[in-house]
Amino acid sequence: MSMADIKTTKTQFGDFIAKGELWLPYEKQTGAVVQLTDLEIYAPDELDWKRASGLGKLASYVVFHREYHPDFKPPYNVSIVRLDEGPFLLSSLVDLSGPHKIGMAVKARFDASGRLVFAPATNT
Amino acid sequence: MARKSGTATSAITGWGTSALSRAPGASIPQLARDAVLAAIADAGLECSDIDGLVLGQSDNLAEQELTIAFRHSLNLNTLGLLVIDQAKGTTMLQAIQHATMAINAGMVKNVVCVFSDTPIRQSTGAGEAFARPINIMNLPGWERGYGSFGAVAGYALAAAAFKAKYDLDDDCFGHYAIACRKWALLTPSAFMKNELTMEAYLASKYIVDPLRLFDCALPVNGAVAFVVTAADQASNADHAPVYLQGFGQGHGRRSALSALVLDETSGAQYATDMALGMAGLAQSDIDICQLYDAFSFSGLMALEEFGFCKPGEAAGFVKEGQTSPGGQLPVNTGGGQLSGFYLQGATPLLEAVIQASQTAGARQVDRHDAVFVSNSGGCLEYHATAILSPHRVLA
Repeated sequence: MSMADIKTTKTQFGDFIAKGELWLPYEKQTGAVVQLTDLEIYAPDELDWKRASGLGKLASYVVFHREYHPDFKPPYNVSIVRLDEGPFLLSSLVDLSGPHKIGMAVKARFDASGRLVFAPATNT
Repeated sequence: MARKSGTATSAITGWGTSALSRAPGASIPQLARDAVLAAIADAGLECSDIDGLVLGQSDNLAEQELTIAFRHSLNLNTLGLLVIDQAKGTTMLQAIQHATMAINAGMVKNVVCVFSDTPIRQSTGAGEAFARPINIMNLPGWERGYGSFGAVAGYALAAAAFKAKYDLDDDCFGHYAIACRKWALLTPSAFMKNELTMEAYLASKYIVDPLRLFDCALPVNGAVAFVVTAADQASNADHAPVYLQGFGQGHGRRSALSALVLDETSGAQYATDMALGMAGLAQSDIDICQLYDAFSFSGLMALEEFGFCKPGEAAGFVKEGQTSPGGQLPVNTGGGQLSGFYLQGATPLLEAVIQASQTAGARQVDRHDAVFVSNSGGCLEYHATAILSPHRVLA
């Protein structure tokens, strides 16, 4: 068995994302939601997964003005979203037609390249 | 070994730097050797007096460049301590702490601690050296998918969340950068030599909005070394020793960014409480702060997380001039990492010993009985602290 075949809680999350779905981890023992940053604390059999609502609040938003990589031409944004279930995610805010500010409601979707992104909840 | 609160067991008796430069040149070991020899001479010691060596390794390197074989480049006798410390931004203070622990254990008497780094190379400028994706989600490759490159990404996200949380003005980080620049103008060794106005600050380009060029540290190539000696050994130096009155660490579950997003706390307060408790002091007893401020935002965050300002009040405190020359709590009196030079945790520690030994010249702060030093790494998730004093016994 190669390393790639070994399932971890991180690859479990990644497998959902690769299918275009956002699922969140919960402690089997307590039912408490687990931050995605804490996944490696757990073995796969210690977590249950539930599909996320996709709803959340914009927790931070920055705009890159410097080019670090040819795939990313500035200006572009990187954002943090706090999902209504509790976990936070680094992502990107899309469909920015109107005003936007930290604290606003956002909703998850997958873009054409399969990336999880968030749009203002009022626009969806 | 039991330690009575307020009586130091170790002192920094010598310090020195290699040449510091914004251009590529000497290697990490060459720079480290220059700094070590300067520090030993400054302590009034010979290489043969040194019985411990703690090597601070930078986290920017593709491979280890400062190995324990470095000891062979110095004319040292048999050492009772030889180790590499590598703990992101906390490496320098951890080295001093580990030296003190070895002294307290009776293993060694005179330990040299050195940090050396060369972020600026022929192929890479300083910006590139720190441009790898910073790990925020702890999910492999996640940040890269969003173009979240560089240490600046994590700090900008934290800065934006901090600014929104307290509804701060767009110039809030500028006042911090300007305060540091005022100190730099009094510091001959500082790299930034021109006055910084709010106009010039607001005209400087964004790197990652809300952080501008003048919100970011000024990396240099170089090395800084310190000789840590048992406190009961008479100092041979021309200047007074600087006693280590307290130290701490705090490595929490949350970085500053995730703490801000989740309304939790990082390990900063833990590290402060440990150091203040050891010294038998409170924040109000601290005369000067030397903070790890790789970004202007980190300086404001540190003032709050370490308990010198209440949450949301650091920006106003700095704007009032309280951290500037003549203020009630001088902060980063050599210009700090924004306007002095950036060599990770070595920057605040060096300025702390200069102030505590009353050798700071035009920028010397009258009250320097207790100097607080912080080192922070990751996105403010690893913290180390120290309290330095010219007094061995704090009344």
